[in-house]
Amino acid sequence: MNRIVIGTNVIEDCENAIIISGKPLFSYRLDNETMLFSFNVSSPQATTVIQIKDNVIQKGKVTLKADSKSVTVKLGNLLLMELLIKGDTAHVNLDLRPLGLHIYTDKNALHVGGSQLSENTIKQCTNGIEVG
Amino acid sequence: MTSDIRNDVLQLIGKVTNYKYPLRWVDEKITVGDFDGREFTIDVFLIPTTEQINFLALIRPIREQIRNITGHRCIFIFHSSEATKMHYSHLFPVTRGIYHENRGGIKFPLPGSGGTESKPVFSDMGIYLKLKVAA
Repeated sequence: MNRIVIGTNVIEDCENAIIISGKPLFSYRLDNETMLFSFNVSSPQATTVIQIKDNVIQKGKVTLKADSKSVTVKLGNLLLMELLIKGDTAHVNLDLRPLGLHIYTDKNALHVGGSQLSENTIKQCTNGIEVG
Repeated sequence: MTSDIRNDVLQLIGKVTNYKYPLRWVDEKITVGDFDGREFTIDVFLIPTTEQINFLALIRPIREQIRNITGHRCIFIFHSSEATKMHYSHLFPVTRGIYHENRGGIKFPLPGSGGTESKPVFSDMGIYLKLKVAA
């Protein structure tokens, strides 16, 4: 079972948790106790292009820290994304506002534009949340 | 003023304020009355009264730039978190407690530069609301 919690929303057994303009925002897999993390934000949707594939930063001036249970991606001092594995669930905190995209999480909800998603369950969909 | 210019100004303000507050050019969905400078007015939502002075301080370095872009001095109208919830909830819809299975997920249009009004679109089937059982 693939279970991801984003801003109190549970996304279960979906191929992609979030896609933006047709591209998956992030994905992860475990390989010999190492988490391999990919992250993709394109322009013109965002003001800066960021591409990370299997923990390798290919585009964008970001920093990445990864271990077997967590990943953080920062733009300068600003946290863009944090993924924490707890048991069989990945907990995701997100803030793409520094990239000019109004998509972020807080302790209550996932915010997309002015809309808030809170305590929803999305199960067995190809894409859990599609933006754009 | 073109929509590109309007978006550029919101992006500029968003950048210096770290996109913390939703912004929107005044339109008929927010304000029905007319006033001098209405077309150069920006609403700032979910901003506590204690942070309004700081907001103006943050944008001070770019106010001249905004004036050059728009050809006019901008007016800002602040809405506290309480006032935003009370009067502008239509700009900030909440989707809560939905169970969505075996369909195309929840879709949103790409958020605009101000970060207001982005309504989710659901496929026609597969949505269930968890109802609380009355005791």
